[in-house]
Amino acid sequence: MAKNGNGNGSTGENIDLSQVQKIIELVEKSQISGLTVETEHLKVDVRKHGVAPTLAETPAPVVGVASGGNTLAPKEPVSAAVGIHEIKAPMVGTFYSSPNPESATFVKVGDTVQKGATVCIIEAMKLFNEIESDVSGTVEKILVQNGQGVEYGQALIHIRPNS
Amino acid sequence: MRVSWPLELVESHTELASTQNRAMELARSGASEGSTVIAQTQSAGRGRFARVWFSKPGGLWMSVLLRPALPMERPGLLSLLAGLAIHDVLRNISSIEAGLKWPNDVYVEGKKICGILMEQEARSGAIILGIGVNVNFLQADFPDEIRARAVSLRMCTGQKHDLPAVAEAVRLALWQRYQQFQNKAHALTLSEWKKHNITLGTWVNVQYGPGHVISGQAIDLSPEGFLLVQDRQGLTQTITAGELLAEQP
Repeated sequence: MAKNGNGNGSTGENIDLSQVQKIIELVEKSQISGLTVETEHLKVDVRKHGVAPTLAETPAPVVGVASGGNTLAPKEPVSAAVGIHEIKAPMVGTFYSSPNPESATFVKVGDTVQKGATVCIIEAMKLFNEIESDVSGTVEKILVQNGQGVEYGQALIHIRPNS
Repeated sequence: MRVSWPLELVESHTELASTQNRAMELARSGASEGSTVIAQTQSAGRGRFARVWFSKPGGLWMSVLLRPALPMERPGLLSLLAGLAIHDVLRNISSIEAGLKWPNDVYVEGKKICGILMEQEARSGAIILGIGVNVNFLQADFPDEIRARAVSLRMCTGQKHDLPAVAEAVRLALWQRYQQFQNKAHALTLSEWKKHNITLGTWVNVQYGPGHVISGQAIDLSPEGFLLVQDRQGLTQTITAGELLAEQP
């Protein structure tokens, strides 16, 4: 990645924005919460929204980009339609749609769920958090894939509450 | 000043399906922090993703209820501290220098002696910390599929150990390490874990999700305790969860 064409100095004036865009896309599509690319002249530190830079003790990056909050970000945050309840991630981690790889998913689109039913699991470092629906209703949309990395507060599942 | 959780919070069983499940019931019924469930054997002991966990008599199978202040700052550090607590116990009991594999598997001379799993109860935020320590097994006691990779305290020291005494030593060490978490001594946690780890500097394959693997060198921890892996292209990737397998450089 990030070759010498990124710039001949450390002012950031000659940065190849298309390469930065590629890095952002790579992070967006992956389960990781961010990554750092460093060459002789340039350092790019990309974090998904809500995650503190993980290399804060190293010299300040020449370019710091928070994907999701920057105009270069390819995707707008998903927002729920009026009347739709969002279940959000309580911590940074990995999203699992089933209790283990051999099991059926906790829920699928169209399922009816009761308040308190487990809808997914988030894991961070062997801490498993079973996420419950805080409303009764119908699963409208599942916004993340099994095994995908999620950020604190990220919307996971849309539920249409019972009227 | 209190130096551990009270002994009367310990619930001992000859057999249970799972100490995790019983401790989760206790959490839901409002039990106090430090409540502990121990079973001599588990009929449905489980590890990550409900995998079967070898739980015959001779091991320490216990679950401890924690009620950390919410929201937790850097919850992953609690995972690191649980491994450090077992490291403390092994050193105190027998001068064994155990190594910690990210995030908290405990190894002695390349073999696993302890596994740790934490589950958070959704509504109250209570955490059930599950610990399995191989205490009095001989190598022949382990099932075929783990025999080459497992070790016990007895195999390390050449003698049997009193399980209740080991259990109380683990509770005490957990209590002490938990204070470190509650007091937000996070820099100390990271530096102590790094001092005793066997992961950083090694080449690893990290398996996460269905069919996803990252290969590279484990180079550091993030402030949250996440593993930083530098791949062959020089990109640093932050790993929040996954299986770590050894990889040739």
